[in-house]
Amino acid sequence: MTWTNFWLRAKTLFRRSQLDRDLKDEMAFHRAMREASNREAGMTPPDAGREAARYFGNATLVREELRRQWTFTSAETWLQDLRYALRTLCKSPAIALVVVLSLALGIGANTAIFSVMNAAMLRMLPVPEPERLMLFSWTARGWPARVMDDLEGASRITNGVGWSYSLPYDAFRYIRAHSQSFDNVVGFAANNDEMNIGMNGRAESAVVQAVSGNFFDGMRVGPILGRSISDRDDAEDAPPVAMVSYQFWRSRMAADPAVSGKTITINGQPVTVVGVLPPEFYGVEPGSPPAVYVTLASFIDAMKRVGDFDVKSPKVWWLGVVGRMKPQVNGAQAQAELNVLFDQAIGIGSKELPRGEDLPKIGMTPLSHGLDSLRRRYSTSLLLLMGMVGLVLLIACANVAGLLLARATARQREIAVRLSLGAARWRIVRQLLTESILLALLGGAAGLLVARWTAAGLMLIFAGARHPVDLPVSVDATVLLFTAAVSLLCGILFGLAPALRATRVNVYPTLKQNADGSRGTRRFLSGRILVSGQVALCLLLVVCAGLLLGTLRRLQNVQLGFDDHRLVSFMVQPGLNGLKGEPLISYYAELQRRLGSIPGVHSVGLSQLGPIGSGSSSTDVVLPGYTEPGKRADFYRHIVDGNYFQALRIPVLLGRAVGERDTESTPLVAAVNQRAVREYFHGDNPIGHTIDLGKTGTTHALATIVGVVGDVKYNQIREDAPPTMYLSYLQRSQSATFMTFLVRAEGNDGNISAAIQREALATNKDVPVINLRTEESVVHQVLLLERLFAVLGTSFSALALLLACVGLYGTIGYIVARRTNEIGIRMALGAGRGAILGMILSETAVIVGAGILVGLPLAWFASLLLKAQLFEMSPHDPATIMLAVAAIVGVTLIAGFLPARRASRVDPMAALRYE
Amino acid sequence: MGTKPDKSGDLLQGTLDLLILKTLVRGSLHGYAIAEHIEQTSEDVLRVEEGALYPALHRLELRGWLAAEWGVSDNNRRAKYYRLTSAGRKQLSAATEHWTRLAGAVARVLGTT
Repeated sequence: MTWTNFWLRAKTLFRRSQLDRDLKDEMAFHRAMREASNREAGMTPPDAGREAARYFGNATLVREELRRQWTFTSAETWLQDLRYALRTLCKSPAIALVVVLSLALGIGANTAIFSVMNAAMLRMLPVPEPERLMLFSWTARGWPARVMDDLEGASRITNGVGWSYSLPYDAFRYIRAHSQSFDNVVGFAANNDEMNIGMNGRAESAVVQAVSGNFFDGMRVGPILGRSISDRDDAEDAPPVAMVSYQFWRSRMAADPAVSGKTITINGQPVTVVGVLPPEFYGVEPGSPPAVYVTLASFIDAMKRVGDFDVKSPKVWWLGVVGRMKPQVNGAQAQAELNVLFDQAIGIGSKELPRGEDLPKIGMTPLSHGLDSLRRRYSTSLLLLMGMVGLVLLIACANVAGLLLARATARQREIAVRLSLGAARWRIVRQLLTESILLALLGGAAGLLVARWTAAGLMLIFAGARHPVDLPVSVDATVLLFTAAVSLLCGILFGLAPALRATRVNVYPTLKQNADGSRGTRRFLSGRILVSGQVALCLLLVVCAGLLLGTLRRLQNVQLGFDDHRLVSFMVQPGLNGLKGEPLISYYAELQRRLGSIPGVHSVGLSQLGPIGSGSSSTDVVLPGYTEPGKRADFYRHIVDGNYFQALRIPVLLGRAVGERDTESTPLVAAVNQRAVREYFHGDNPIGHTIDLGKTGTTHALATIVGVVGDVKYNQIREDAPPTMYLSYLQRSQSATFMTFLVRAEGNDGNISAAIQREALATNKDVPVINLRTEESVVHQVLLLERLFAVLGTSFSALALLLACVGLYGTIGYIVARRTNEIGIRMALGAGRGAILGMILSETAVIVGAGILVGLPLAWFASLLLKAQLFEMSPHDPATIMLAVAAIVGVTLIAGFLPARRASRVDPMAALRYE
Repeated sequence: MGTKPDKSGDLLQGTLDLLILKTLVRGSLHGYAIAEHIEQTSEDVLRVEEGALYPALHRLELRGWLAAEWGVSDNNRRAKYYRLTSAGRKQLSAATEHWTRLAGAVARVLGTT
């Protein structure tokens, strides 16, 4: 098609009536000329006219041909189809509404889950050219003890090979100084913890991230207010500065426009805020946005003050390093250079450190999507959820297909007429498909609304997780594309079969008798198959929901080993403010005393980590007399005070618990749990035996076991309690920089909380109370995913059942309507009401039965996918399966009963007359 | 060409196009005049039917070889007049040359027994 061609046609686009007139005139003129020449040749006027008409032939056909040349045929027929589809939908608004609604729910749920997936797994870091960012990571077989004493940050072990992205400080500086393949090499502390923030006289807690001076430069992120942290700020004697995130600035600093230059305290030290970051930047880890950014220099300073560890030591690996590759460099070159630099920095290959299998090998991981902790934690769950909503959507589509099938037979006449007038079959199919796609797109648009609310609700739930997920979920281009694609697919899916069937019409009998022209609808096989399919999918969903519910129930009934009712917990981190030694101990003692004086409080216990959901601490020790030489015993640790066991109502089974009399000046003691006794002491009484905790400096720390306590779940609920040892915090004060308080109290929760805040403030106004909540809610939070699955699984299966019942009701009703004549005859011949009822009910039974037969093996395989989520349940739990089948049979029988009853109540005379 | 145009027969279609283009060398004509001219000049051997003529005319117009405008005919009726464009003239000489070569080739084949 040339430009001239296109242009000429385009000119007539909006002047169609003019085009028609022109064509008509041209043809009429030609005929008139012929008539005139005929008359000149001697014919009589009427003859001349007739001859001209006859000779001209079919003017309309010619005109149509010409018109076809001048219009953009394909595009305009689509528009025509669309207009016709709209008109048809407006004629039956009820059906359209039902379809759009069920599609909106189905597509909306899918879009919601997808948008969460998109935000958590698919979105790129909100920085320019994220694909150039590479995270330096390393792998090693086993613990590389020759070069590493301490490892901070995330690490994984797969098949004996460890992976981590934490490097020593000096390695970062060396690589940064010497690399040629990267535009910037930036560093960030691998652990970003909550720290005590002092603002406007208030003590608060927020997540603080330490970064190198060139971090924001390397990320290519600029501030929206003030200035960025620079290399000058990251020097040893530079005054400490900080940047705040947009969200922190909005919510905790009241979006103060004059924020740059303001001073806040972080862990008691004054820091100047110099800038505010843009709202879309969330750091390098999706879902965990830091609130405050400080320099590495001030972080190193703070660590020295707190006395935790020497972060400048080459054996302490704590810094994440990211490089932005130069555009002209490819991955292989950068990797090669990195290998050399890393080995040089660590000293691998030197005389003191000959090469070996145990030494770490440096690698690069793309950071375009940020750190993947969120993805790892939730990707399986999200995929499972996606599967479930996909099934629900499938059921909704089957429903709509059945509806359209039934409606198509009502339009037989219209289609027969069009076919007889010469319409091509595919043209009608296309037009019917347009209707379906239009419905689907409308459903998709409505679904976007549903998705927004559903996704918001989902994120609210995730925000209450143990590691709270703070992820902005929005409807962006990817999500819109997904919705459009799903809608289109649905439209074709449920529209194609009815469209094809509807056009398979015997034109002649349909036109003649106004009767149903297509064979097979009497039995309506396709409709039944659709409903059976829906029942099968329902069975799948109900079985899965049942399994998830059962898991949740079992988990909620698990014995924790302590009494979590009427228990309030919170954390304080006075060590971060520089408190240590004597003042630290007296702070804890003072706070404990004050809390004890609150009316309603029974006991106050301390532990570094709360019993559930606070993380874990473990070590391996030697048990003289029990561990084999060369082998060590793994123990999980709790550092507690004397009131801990009483406050939590943990039974002391033998001997005594560790407590106040175990101080720095008394011998080191420990209590162990029953599991440790069973596993390591072979059931012997362990009291009096020692635990060799290893060397600290030159002395061996040997703890004497003084008691055995009951097993308590450690940090999580699914696994059994591990071998645990309890040490007195008075004897471990150097690591007691933060402690968790557990308060057993009677009375109003609100009053208790307020009182706790008051007393903590009075004890030390610079140490904020962190995570004040009931222990029950902590346990509740640990089961977040299980609860989510149970709730969603149940809702989805309920929705699916509802849809299937609606479909069943409609189908049976339709079948009854078509067989009304037959029913009348049967009744006239003597069949009773009961027989008719039974006949129709058996229809339902066959459909449901077939569905269940097909669904059982499907459910068998699908529930295997859930295996990892289940707890103390077999994926093929017979009780669940039987209950599911019973539920489906029960509900569907009711749905099928109603039209059956209607059928049995039919007046035979009316039925006989029914055509 | 007394029958309906054979769409697959490029030869027939192309020939009609050629005749139309040649007819319009003299000036602009309406469709009836073009048909009449071809009839008369070919001494009634070639009679163009409307079903072939007008699709050809409109096709040529859409290809830019003809330009059209509405005018008034001798007997005061509204009529559409077609004329050759410069592109049309070029196409005319190319098509004429092609046809002459073709005709000559056919004649040679028929000439040898």
